[in-house]
This record gives sequence, structure tokens and C-alpha cells, in this order.
Amino acid sequence: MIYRSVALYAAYFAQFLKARLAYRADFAASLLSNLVGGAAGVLFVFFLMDGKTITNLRGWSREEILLIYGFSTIAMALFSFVSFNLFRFGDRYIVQGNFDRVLLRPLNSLCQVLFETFNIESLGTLAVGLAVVSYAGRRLGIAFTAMDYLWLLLGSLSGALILLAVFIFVASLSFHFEDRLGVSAPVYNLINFSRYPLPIFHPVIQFILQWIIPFAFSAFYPAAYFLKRPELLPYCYAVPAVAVVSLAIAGTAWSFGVRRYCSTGS
Amino acid sequence: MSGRTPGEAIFPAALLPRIYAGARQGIAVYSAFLRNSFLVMLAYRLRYYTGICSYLLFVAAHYFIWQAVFAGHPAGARIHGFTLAEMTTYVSVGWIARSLYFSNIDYDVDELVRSGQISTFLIRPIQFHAVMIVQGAGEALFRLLFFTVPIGAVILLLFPVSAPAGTAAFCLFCLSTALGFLILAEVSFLVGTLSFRLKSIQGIIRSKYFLIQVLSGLLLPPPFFPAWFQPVIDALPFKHVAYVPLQLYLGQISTAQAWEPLCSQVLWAAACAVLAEYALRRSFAHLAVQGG
Repeated sequence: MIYRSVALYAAYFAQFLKARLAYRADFAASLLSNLVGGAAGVLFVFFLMDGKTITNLRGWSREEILLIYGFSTIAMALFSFVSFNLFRFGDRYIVQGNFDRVLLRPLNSLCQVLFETFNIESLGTLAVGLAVVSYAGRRLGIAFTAMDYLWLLLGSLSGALILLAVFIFVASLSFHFEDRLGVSAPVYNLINFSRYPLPIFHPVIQFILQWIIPFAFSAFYPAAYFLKRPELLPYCYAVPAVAVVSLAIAGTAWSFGVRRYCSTGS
Repeated sequence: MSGRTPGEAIFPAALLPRIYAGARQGIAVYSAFLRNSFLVMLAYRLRYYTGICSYLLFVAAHYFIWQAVFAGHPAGARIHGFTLAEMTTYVSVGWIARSLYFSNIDYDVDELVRSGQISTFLIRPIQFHAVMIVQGAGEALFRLLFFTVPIGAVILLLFPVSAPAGTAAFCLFCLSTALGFLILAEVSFLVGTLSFRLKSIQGIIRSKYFLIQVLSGLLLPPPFFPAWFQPVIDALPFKHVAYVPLQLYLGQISTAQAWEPLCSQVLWAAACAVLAEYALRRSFAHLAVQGG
């Protein structure tokens, strides 16, 4: 059963890839612009933390901040690879009625929505994130052992899954409140806070990012593995567990929404 | 016998009623578009509440980042010419102004081209370019009342924002922001014309969004950029969208010297408009509308 699903989604992906690569110039332009967009964000941190006039943010060094920012960029890239439909879920699936079509098929409805479009261009952002992490890592004197690579993979995957869980939850609200846009925009902007050391923000913001919308676990705590700050390590090791719990909550909210779903009839 | 039709032989004085009629028709058409875009935006009310939230979050994030930056310096220190109070004002007023000058013209053009609705624009006796800019201006006017004012009120309540350098400075800031809107609107239209050639310009629109945040000086005033990057900033029109108006607000450009940046804003707006019109005309050859 699982094997069949995986084979089917692989076919979804192959089909999407064929369609996307039909227009090569177009794809190249998108890939390049994603790279530029990702780099522009990093540019702000690079220029702000020039290392001469501004060397640290409340004791967090330039390299530590770049590492957190780079980690966040990787998690965001992995997340945006499959998340495109979540942002237009209310419009495309609920208001326009495409969710009826999804329910007709004997496959998991959430997986269908996630895997109907892929944002392959986010590979450009991924490249930027990897470059920043490797730059900051080398400046911090990290050896990048096999264990470090394993954590880089596990930490950024968990980070991406936490982002995914939050936006699955937000998208599932569309089952109850029909609206084309929903509340995903301000929640998305909240990610900005997770790209810097958590302690520089107001305690209320820290509390929200840690216990309500767990964005702190999407980049700051996973990156803390590489920073010599032992007080953060317990949170750091909790990252995969937070990912699992968030996904479970989001999945429950989704199924609850599906059960309450009634078509708009369009 | 001359081959002229009577209509072509008329004197300039006789042209006046026709110009008058044309202008009246133009204003009627454009005000209908204006009214329409007001109504469309009214229909999406949730977008306003979430939009106000988003702006608040942007300002808050950068407020705390700047607090942390200045924490490492003695109280009252200036970094690249800015005190913490000035930087807080810069960020807050910068984002309030952005809520006014930011437009989705590139996205709208892309939508019209991809859906083929652009054909209904092109068969009417109106200027597509002008309509899009005027529509954008209508939306900006709408945002001024229902978006910029509440955002401004919330931000002024929550963050310690300084008053403008003077009444004249504030008026010049407003004028300069309006010109900044025009520059960005023309650049957005230019990006929108790419949709005639490319199948999807979503990626380009997104990267433009991030690039302009940096290059306009909204996130970081240009004096913070390294020396090697300054020529890039000076060669592009984007610093005239955010940085120049904010300099006027803070009094970094005195009202006596203000004519100079304002003139370059007008020149940049004109240059971008000419380029956008040229790009539009070149793009029509690539337009393919399926059926409709």
C-alpha cells in the first residue's frame, strides 16, 4: 500500500517535471531568480554585520547569525519545494471546488494537495542556504564530520517539516472559514523572527515562537547544534520530536477539516 | 482639389473641443477603472487585517534587530550617521510608506496576459500602460485611507517614532514618496511585460520583491552598504523609492537642497516610464491569446 503510494507520487513528480522542463528558458529564469531572491535576504545580514562597526547582536557573533540564517534558508527551501498549494488552498481547492476532485481519488487528500505541484526552483534557494552554512561553518571552525552532516540533514528536514506542519494547520482552517487568502501571509512573515537568535526578541515573541507557533525549532534550535552554547542543546535535540508532534497536530486538524468539508458546488 | 478630408484641415482652435471631449472621455474611463479597483479591494476585507498584522511583524522584527545592533554600542552612539532613535524612526516610517507605494502591477499584468483577458483591454480605445498605472494609483489612494493610516496608527502607538524634521520636510517626504510610488509602479509594469515572453514570471516577481527590499534601502540604509556596493545603489532607481523620502523625513536632506533628489526622482520616473512603454510595444509581437 505504501509502496503503491510512493510509486504514484513519484509518477506525479515525473509528470510535473516533464511539464516544467518543457519551457527550459522559463525554468532557467525561475531558478536564477530564486537564487537571486535567496541571496538578497542573505545580503542584508552580510551588509549589516560588516564585522567592523557591527560585530555582534547582543553577543551573537556575525558567523553564528549567518549560520542560523543559512540553516533557516535551507529549511525554507525544502519547505517551499512542496508547500505551494497550501498557500492557495482556500482559493484553488475550497472556493474553486477542486477539493471535490481530490476526494474522488483513493489516495490521501493531504498528499495529493502537497504533491500536485512542486517548486523545483527552490533548489536555487537551497544552494544559497548551503553556501551560507558552509561559509559560516568554516569561519566557526566546524570540522563537518559525518555526524555533523547527518545533523544538517536531520535538523533541516525537521525544520522544514515544522514549517510544513504549521502551514498545513493554517490551510486546514480554510475548511471552516471560506476565504481566498486566509491568514497564511502574517504567519509566513513570522518566520522572519526565526532567522535570528531567539533571545534578541521580546519575551512574548520568544514564548510564541517556542510554544505556540514553533518556528524557533525550524532554524534557531537546529543550528544551535553547531554553536558552542551547551544551554541550548536540550532544545536542539528536541527538534525532531517537535517536528513529529507538530505534524501529528496538523494531520489531525486536516482530517477534522476534511470530515467537516462540504463542497461550494462550483 | 486637395486629397485631404475636411477633418484633417481644421485649425488648432477648432481642435480644442475635440481635445476637451477626449480628455473628458479619458477621465470617465479611468475613473471607472479607479472605482472598480476600489470595489475589488473592498471585497477582500480579511486581506486588510492580515496585511496590517504582516507590516507590524516586519517592523517588530527589525526593531528588535536594531535594538540588538545598538546594544553593543554606548548610549547615544551613531552608527554610519544614525542614532538608535533615528534608525527606529527610519524602519517604522519606511514600512508605513511602503504600505502606500507597494503595488502588484507586475502580478496584475501577468494575470491579464495568462488569462487572455488582456485582449479585452487591447480592443478598447484606451492606453493599457496608462490604465495599469492609474489603476495602481487608485489602489494606492485606497491603501492610504484603509491601510497606511491604520498601520501608521498602530506602529506609532507601539514603537518610539520621532516626528518629522519639520512641516516642510514632512510635505517633501509625502511628495517624494508619491514619486517613489511612480518609479516602482513603472518598474513593476516593466517586469509585468516579461509575461508576454515567459510562461511564468512568478519567480521573477518574487526575486524583485526581495531585491527591492534591499536595494531601496528599506531594510538597511545605503550608508551601511560596503563601499564597493555604493556604485550599484547609485546606478539603480530603487534608492529613490525608500531611502530618499526617508532622508527628507529625518532632515538628512535639508528642505533647501530637496529640489535635487526630487528632480532625479522625476527623471527616474520618466526614464522608467519610457523604458516600460518601449518594452510593452516590443512585447505585443509575442502575445498569443488562445480563443477567449
